[in-house]
Amino acid sequence: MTDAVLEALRSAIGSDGVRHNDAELRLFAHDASNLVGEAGVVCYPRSVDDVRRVIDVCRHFGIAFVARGAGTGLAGGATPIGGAVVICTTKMNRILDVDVSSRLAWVEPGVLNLDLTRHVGRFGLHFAPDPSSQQSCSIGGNVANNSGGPHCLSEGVTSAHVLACDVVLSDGSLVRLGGEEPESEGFDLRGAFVGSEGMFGVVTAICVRLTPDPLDVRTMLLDFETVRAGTDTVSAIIAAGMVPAALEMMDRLCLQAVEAYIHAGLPTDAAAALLVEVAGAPSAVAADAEAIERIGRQHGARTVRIARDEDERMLLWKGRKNAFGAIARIKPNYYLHDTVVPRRHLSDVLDHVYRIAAEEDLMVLNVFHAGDGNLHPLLVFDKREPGVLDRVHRAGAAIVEVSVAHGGVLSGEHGIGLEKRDFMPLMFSEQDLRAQAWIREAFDPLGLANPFKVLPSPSGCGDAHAHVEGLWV
Amino acid sequence: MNPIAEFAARIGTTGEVWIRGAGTRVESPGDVRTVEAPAGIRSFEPDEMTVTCGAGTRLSDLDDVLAERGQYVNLGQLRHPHGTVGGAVATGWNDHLRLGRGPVRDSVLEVHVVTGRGDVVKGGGPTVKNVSGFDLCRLMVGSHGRLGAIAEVTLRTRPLPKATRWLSVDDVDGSRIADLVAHLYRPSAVLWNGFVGWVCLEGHPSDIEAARTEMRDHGFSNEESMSGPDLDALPYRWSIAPRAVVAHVEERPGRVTAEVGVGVVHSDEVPPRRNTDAAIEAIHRRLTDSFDPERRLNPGAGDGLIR
Repeated sequence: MTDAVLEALRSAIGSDGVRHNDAELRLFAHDASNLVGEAGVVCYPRSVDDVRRVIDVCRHFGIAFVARGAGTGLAGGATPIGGAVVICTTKMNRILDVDVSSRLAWVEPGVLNLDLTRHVGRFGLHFAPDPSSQQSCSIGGNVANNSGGPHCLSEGVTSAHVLACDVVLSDGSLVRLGGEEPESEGFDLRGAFVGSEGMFGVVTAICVRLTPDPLDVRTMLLDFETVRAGTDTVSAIIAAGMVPAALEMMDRLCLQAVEAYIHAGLPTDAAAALLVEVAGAPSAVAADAEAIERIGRQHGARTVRIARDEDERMLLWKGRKNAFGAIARIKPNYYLHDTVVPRRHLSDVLDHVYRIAAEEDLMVLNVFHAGDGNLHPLLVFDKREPGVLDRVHRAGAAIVEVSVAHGGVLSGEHGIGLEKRDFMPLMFSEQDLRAQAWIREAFDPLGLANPFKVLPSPSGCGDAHAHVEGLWV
Repeated sequence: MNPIAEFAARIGTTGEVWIRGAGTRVESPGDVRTVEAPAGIRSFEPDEMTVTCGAGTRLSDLDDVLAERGQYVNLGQLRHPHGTVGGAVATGWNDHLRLGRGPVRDSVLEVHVVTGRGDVVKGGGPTVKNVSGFDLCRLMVGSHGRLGAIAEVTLRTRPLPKATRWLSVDDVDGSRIADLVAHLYRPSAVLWNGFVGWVCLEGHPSDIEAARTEMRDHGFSNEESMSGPDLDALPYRWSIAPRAVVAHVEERPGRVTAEVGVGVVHSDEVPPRRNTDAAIEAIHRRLTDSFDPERRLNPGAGDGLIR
């Protein structure tokens, strides 16, 4: 980063908002994945005007910028390439407005997901997208990745909960995409922006829909002797006309790891367990819970444990949400995958996942959103072991390929980023990718917003591939 | 040749083309060559809650097939029951159950379109959850086919509610409408004209009865109503912030019926033109320049921003 750029940034937003020390540059060279790039400088805007000033400097010098929230992404979406300017939104963390009667809120991008839910809890409302990282991920990051979470089975992903985004484009203009009003004119630019992984512009304020808390909740754990019995139960529940609030699955290794960590009395001898939550009005909840228990038993559920109170419910969810903490006790490193397959192929694809892991001599645990077919195979390893990363990457590639071959998709909620960029041709033709590049060019003709992500070359505006440590090729 | 490729061949690469559905939403201009999209349900997977069909499929045919398995897809049918799937997606017009069922745009999982250049482009994916690549599906819903002629879609289905009840509530003025809404748990619709409120509740019959009792306990006597308000006499559609609805209705009592919590107002007045922003216009222009550089597709369709 040249002194001229640093000087321009400092005079744009003040010296205390511009960081260029080695420790910070190293920290911001990656997100929560193992994909390491190179940060040129880290800027902390405090307002939309600061964001515009930083982008003006980037445009003046022709330097790329990467917006970053809490950096919890797992696909390298916020990994800066080739010394890009990192625009870190953590200091833009105000809840600007809550309209309880219209059930919407305006927030800055750095507001943490769970902080919004906690803030509006006193009104009996919550923000429905609940990624496992919800304690630490930012809503700006949720918008960039169109994040999901266990409760997106019934409530939908982030896109369904975003009414408007205020965005600074790379040409410096500030635009409102969507709005509080329900029917904007023109194309649904709001919809196009959500999930654009920072490549269309920088979001500076977000209008989100808030969801009323359910009147009643029933959480249950069903366990099975085979994985197939569990996945068949999932399909049967959906086919019977129910959409539970959440439908999560853990396999045996995962159950064992979690039980050793939280001592919740999980069935560690089961091949798989289903965590099912039904929520809503009381009679519907009671009827669905009864039907789910019956369907589970018809499909060979050994036990059906129904949480008796909120403490037991929280304990069951703690097992699910802290699975990754538990896994750290087995091996020091993990690689978390994210693909989606049609529900009816869950068992077959899981069989492939176990086989692939065995062939690469790796341990795999599965904890995933079974209700929407969203697999999260977790490969655990010790990176000090020579050659292990190659095996981890080979296994990951094979898992992605087998998912797509079964009619699935590359990512359900982590995004494409750098991690899966070069897998995009598995799902999309050259023409499909060119159309995606057109959308990006319509928002960012200058190509300054988070370049080199999502679109493989040559669709990515002919950008040369930069070297990224840890990238699968 | 598969139906999508055949559709693309008929659209070709030159000359203006109008994609004709059933003509129930938008009339064709008459002097433009017309092409019909493929029709028919290609696959329906009740336990995936997805259905894939040609854009020319009649909504009524789709509804019948889904209903046999206790499911539906939200394409705004309450207001626009007729026409084609492609027409419903291309206009993106919502009905007044949006409060509970969500907007039409959330129903589309995968889309195949033919661009103005004659290329077939796919966006999205066949699964209920997917963040692979940019969201072409959302961009196509409500695009009036100006970026691409919709050939085939995969849609997310939902279980049909066990019961649907419309209730009318008398004597609801501006001071009581917020109170009414506050006592309802996730209604599918709340409409209000300044005097009368109409509430649609969907779900388990016992929950609906309990909600009616709760309403009465809070002073909202309610009567079962066949179908909610008659909106046919109010041909114009305003889109305003939900928080502005009460003031808007109070200024025009009895002359408008508003979707409370959504912000659509059915009115006898033409809505004002909205301001357009130069940067937003530029994004629209660049999108159309790429997808349909010669402005061949559905010329004249859409609102002021789409051209």
